[in-house]
Amino acid sequence: MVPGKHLALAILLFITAAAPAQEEGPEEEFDFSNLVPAEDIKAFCSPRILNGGPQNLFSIGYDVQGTHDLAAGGYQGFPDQDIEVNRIREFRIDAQYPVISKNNITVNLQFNYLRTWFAYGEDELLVHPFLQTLDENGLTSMSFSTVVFKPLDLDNFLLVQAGASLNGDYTLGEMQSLSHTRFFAAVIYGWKPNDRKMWGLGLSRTYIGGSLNYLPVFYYQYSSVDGQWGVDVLLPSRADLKRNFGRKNILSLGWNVQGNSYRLNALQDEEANLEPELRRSELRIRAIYDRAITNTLWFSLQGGLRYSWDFNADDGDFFRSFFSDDPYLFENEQGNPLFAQLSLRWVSP
Amino acid sequence: MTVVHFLTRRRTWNMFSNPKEADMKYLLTFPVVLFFSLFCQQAHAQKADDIIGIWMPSEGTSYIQIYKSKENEKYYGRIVWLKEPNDEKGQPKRDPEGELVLKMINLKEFVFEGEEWTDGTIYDPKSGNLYYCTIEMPSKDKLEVRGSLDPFGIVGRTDVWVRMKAK
Repeated sequence: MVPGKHLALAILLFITAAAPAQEEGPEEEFDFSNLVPAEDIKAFCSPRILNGGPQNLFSIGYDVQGTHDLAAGGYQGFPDQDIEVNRIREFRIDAQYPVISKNNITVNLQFNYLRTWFAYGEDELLVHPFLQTLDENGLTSMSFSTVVFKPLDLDNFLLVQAGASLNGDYTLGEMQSLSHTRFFAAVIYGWKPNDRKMWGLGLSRTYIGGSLNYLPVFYYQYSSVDGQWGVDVLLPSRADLKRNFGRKNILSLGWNVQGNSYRLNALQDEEANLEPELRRSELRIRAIYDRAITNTLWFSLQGGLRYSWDFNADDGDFFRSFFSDDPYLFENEQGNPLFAQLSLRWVSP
Repeated sequence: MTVVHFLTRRRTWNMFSNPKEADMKYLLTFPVVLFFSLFCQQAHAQKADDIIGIWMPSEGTSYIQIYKSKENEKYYGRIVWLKEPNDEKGQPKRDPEGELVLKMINLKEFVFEGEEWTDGTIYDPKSGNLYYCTIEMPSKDKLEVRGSLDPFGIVGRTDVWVRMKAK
């Protein structure tokens, strides 16, 4: 017999005997309220409310606006021109990725792409360069932003957004200079009194009205006790009343405002030192029906009225108050057609 | 590898000039290797079981008791305490499917691999959603619980849980 074998056997027996019980079932009767945390830990509120609906991660959407009139104001010797727009089509991509998502901070990166095509009546003779560039180039908006949700404790939070966008009559094949990037930001201080309600107040640097502006922001999220009703508000950009039918159908009624300042590259006039930008701001009064295809894949159908808040052109990028009487470089008017939008969404449920 | 094969293979290396001396030294080496092997296995098992206990998620509104199943040696978690056990109507809280939240098993089928407990799922009884889940233990009294939409944990959220102990 080899001595090493005895030693090995002894060690094996020792370890087996010394091993603690490996299996523990749940304790059924125990006063858990007498427990305390082994380490100090700070509780934080989460960035979402209960029954607040799915959160968008990636979506593609297609949008059609009906027939309406468009009047372009005189510019650099070109007279006013009125035409009929047969259809406006829009294609949009919205993506959001949570690069950091912990209980003490959430950081989301967002990307938004919006492409707009204008189609006029067949017998329209285009003279005005503004109408020509809308017809030939359309409008493109592309933005990157970061949204940080920083809970301060169980009841309070900070919401910070900062981003940059490139807007103009450019296409992806013929990009616009990045020197015309526009920057936007918002800061909100908020309260979350319970799982079903959070609200906040803040300030934003925004182009939502077309021109650069500094606006107060009101944030409000609410869901009813039974989870059937909800409110999603981020003034001034959107407000929706929601009705949940089960967990896979949501009907929303409300409105949103979308705006940007689009550089009109085709209208630049170096001799006159003019850099026209289209102040485009639209209010959409809408109904939205969201339905789950799977737990994480939803489709969304919306329809309503598109109201043009601003479609005028200014020279360059500057702050313009809502109460300003300063004249625009040229003034345009467009009708307010009905619209429909279909989108497919990959969501976090 | 069998012991015989182990010894045979080692002998062919012929590191010792005297075959008998070589046999004795390697026979003494064997229990040492066996000891470390078993020690590591035991340490691995103990480390895996470090997760067993009662834990509080960051919101502080519930306790989860993590235990090891006697049937499949996997780890599970059960909601054992709720700060507010009843809903607004005074009835015991239920998830969207109508199941009682208290005593619900919401962590399922975790196995210990490497330095983390993985291959499990976590169920959120508030929303009724089920997520892939991986758990890490940065310190003996803290867990980082990551629920995700994908099995790789790319799109998800990490919550810090703290161990609960008696006063």
